[in-house]
Amino acid sequence: MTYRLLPLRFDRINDNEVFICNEVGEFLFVPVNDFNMLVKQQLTPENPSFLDLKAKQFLTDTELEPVIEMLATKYRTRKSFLDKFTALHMVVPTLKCNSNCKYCQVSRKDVTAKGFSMNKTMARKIVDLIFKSPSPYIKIEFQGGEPLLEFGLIKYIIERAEWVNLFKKKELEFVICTNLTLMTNKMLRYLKGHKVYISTSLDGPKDLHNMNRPLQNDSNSYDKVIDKIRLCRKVLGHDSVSALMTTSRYNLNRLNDAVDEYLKQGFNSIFLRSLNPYGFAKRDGQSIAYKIDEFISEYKKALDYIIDINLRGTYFVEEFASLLLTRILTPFSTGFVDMQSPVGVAISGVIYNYDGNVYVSDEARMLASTGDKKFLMGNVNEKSYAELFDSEFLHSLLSKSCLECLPECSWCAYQNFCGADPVRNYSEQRDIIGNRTTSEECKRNKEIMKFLLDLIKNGDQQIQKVFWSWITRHPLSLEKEEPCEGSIR
Amino acid sequence: MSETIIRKIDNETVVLELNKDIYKPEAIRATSYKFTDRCYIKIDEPENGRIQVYFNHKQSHDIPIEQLAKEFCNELIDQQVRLDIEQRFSDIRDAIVKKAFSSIQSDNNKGKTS
Repeated sequence: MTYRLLPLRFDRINDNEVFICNEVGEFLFVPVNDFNMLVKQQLTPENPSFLDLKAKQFLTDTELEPVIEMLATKYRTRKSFLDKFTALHMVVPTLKCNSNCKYCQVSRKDVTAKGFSMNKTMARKIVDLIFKSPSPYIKIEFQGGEPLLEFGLIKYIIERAEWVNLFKKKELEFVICTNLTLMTNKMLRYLKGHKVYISTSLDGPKDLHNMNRPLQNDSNSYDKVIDKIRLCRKVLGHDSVSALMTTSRYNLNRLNDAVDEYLKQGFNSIFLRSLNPYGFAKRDGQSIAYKIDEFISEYKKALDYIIDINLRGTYFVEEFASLLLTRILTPFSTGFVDMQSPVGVAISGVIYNYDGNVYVSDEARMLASTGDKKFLMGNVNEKSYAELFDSEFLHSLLSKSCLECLPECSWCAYQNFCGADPVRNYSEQRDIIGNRTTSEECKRNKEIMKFLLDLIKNGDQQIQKVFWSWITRHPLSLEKEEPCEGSIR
Repeated sequence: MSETIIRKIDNETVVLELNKDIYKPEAIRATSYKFTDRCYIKIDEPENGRIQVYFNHKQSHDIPIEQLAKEFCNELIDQQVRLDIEQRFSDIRDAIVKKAFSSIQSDNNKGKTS
């Protein structure tokens, strides 16, 4: 024995190949015989895999301390999302909404409903609480209902936050998540002066969008949304508007059409999101939901389609793949509240409801809308910042959401690229730890990771370039090059 | 598979006998967990020094129960390998994590003394 084995996890891909990944996300595909020799301490330096394994820190035949030092630095980098604490603060000014989305995950209220909007006293308390976060970066994101129905309150919160920030001097940013249909020129002129970004929803071409997201008084919301996207871009600038899509049964088999629509509307990315099991989406699951296998299959086809669009010279990103690729191909930390370890709920993002209730995530608020307040942290009228964010409840939740100690996740070879989601586990399986063998989210994440890893392993240089262009957010030139050996990573 | 015996109880149930000198209970439990979506599993330890794993078919899956028991045996080897190698590098893993957060720990200590 001339080497020391370093921490690793493995997964047998097939009879010939094993995927191995270490504590900091370095990975390799190794022949099964080499893997067997590796773990039996029988691999010799002459073996072709030896140097690769050494370079990726799966083994060391030199002094141990410098290797630990290097792995520790990489580990710290990967977990650096923990440094800053809560940066994303979502605020729900109202539950009222003029949309009638088939999959509404928050169980919205009618426009005329009373008692579902925040008052200024509450808004002020929430802003003051937000600025108690130690994060040097604060993003206040207005969610709904339809937040533009309470535009006066949005203005109040923005101005109050800007005032408090004169003293706190944090990097402050605002986002309004809106269906855009109520947006006016006057509102946009105001938003332009306050560093506000717009996030809207676009589920595909006209027929699909209108099927998923009709308005309460108008089945054609598509024309209004497209019109308002153009108006936002005209006033705020082209990149000030982003869009999200949700996949229901209606658009599941037409993801390519959604991609084409995003391209047609001048977007350079799309996030192909599966349906979340909350609110009306859970209640009406039989008519709008689908099996996760169907989503995975359609996602893969759509991703191939998007890669092909890039290969033909148009820069266009699929956001979920981009997130996973950043985790797979770089050592950097990536923020994605739903998929971190420890989980991002509360420590990366938190949501303040119109009534002052604070939930660990938007999904927790969605769950509460159906009567289950399992993930309620407390109310801003009753609890201090410390009581909300340093509570026994939160400590317990976080300790049960570290992949390193969850059943099956603890030895999963894909752990470094994944994350825990106790709220989803609870919603799907009534258990915050959840059972991985029946978890749809686990299946989706693992299948998509394997799909991406397979594309990386196959070593097509043009596809690698597309992936790197997504990670770096820069269109790359795609001149033909001869593939070279050992091109993975 | 001389150390492992698969015995059919009825059309829906088989029992697997495992030598506990070869397979650790942790490996057997971890493997069992992985099969809970396909079978109902009961782990037992009679007095003969062997561990018995009972597999009862879940109706939603149509893979023959004997086949699942054989797949269990292969997965069990992987789980045992995971345990074996974990023993060899768990101290290194602890050292990496400790080193990674050492600057935070020393900052905290400074804060306490100042």
